Amino acid sequence: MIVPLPHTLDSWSMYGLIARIISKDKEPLHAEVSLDFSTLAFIKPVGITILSNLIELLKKQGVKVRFRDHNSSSAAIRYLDDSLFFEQYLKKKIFELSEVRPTTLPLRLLKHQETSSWLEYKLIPWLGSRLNMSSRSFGTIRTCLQELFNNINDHAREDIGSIFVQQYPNKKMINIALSDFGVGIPYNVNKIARPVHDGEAILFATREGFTSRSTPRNGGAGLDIFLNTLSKNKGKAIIYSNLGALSCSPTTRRPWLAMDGQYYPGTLFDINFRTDTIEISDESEEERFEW
Amino acid sequence: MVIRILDHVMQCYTQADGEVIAGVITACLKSGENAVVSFSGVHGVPSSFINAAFISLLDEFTFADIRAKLTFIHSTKQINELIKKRFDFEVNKRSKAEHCYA
Repeated sequence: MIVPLPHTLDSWSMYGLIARIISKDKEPLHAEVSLDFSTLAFIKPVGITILSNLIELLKKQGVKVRFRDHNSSSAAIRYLDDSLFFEQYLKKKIFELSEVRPTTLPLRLLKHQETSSWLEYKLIPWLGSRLNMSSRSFGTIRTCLQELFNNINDHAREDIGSIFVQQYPNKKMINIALSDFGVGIPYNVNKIARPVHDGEAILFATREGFTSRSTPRNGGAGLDIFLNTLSKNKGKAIIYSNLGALSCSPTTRRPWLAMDGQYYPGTLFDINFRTDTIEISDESEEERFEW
Repeated sequence: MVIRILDHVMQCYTQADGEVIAGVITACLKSGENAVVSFSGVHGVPSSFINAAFISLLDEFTFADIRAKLTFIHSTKQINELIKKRFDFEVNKRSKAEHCYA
């Protein structure tokens, strides 16, 4: 089955792409999928994570995934090649001169046991050099990602996720797209609560103390702490999972339902950290503890 | 007794890391000593670690005992806020549950 990629691959167009490849039960619709890159003109960082997540899910289900017309020199193909996407999946770059852009931390598939070293030895030093700040300044970003990695490990039933990081210097922003292809947040919430729809289920999961007890020691605090920490940075995030999503700003958490029953297999975090508030929001200075 | 966390675990990240620290603190408190937990070298921690290392102590000790016998040094604003927020929430939750069953 040839599946043309959308003109612009982002978190809006992903639903149509996913619907052509897998069912809402996460069952593949075809034994072989040929992703056609000739139709792809633009891909956002979150699109790279989505594509990786989708390919990993198909591979896990035994589907043969091929690439088609991926040799053009369009901006999207060059960005994918510079981001090591083709090296990840074809074991070689498309263009000899492709190289990781200074503003990009390329696509990585991470197991939970690898996340700590990726944070300490890849992300934090890269942020330090890009923003000319000491590694101690990134407590906010470190805490947010630790919470999300632990959340995936505790609840997703899949010990692997894709992550991609892009800096936008002019916008003073770091975009992090992280996804797993686990069971999805609503799947766990629906076992113990009755939200109106999957967007509301994600909202439930972000409330302090709400836990599906996937592990005995869960306190139901991880997503709440992630969002509170992000709001100190004045950052924003959208969490997509199964049939719903949750838009989060420093002042609001707005749940919504994907249109026409569209579906994301797993959970996708599209996070924007502000770089001009990192040092202001930093809480890694030593402070005396008092009960 | 001063318990320097990084003498016992490589990192303050996972539930498993926290469980190691909970074991050390529990042994200390049961021996009748006060525990002073040092975060020296640690810049921030996630909630999984805090829950396993400290909130789990509520299963064996009262909150009043924990406040009297456990304290923290070389910690940061993020760590302090998280410890207090998690204890505040869990103590309130357990208190409400006790009232429900009373």
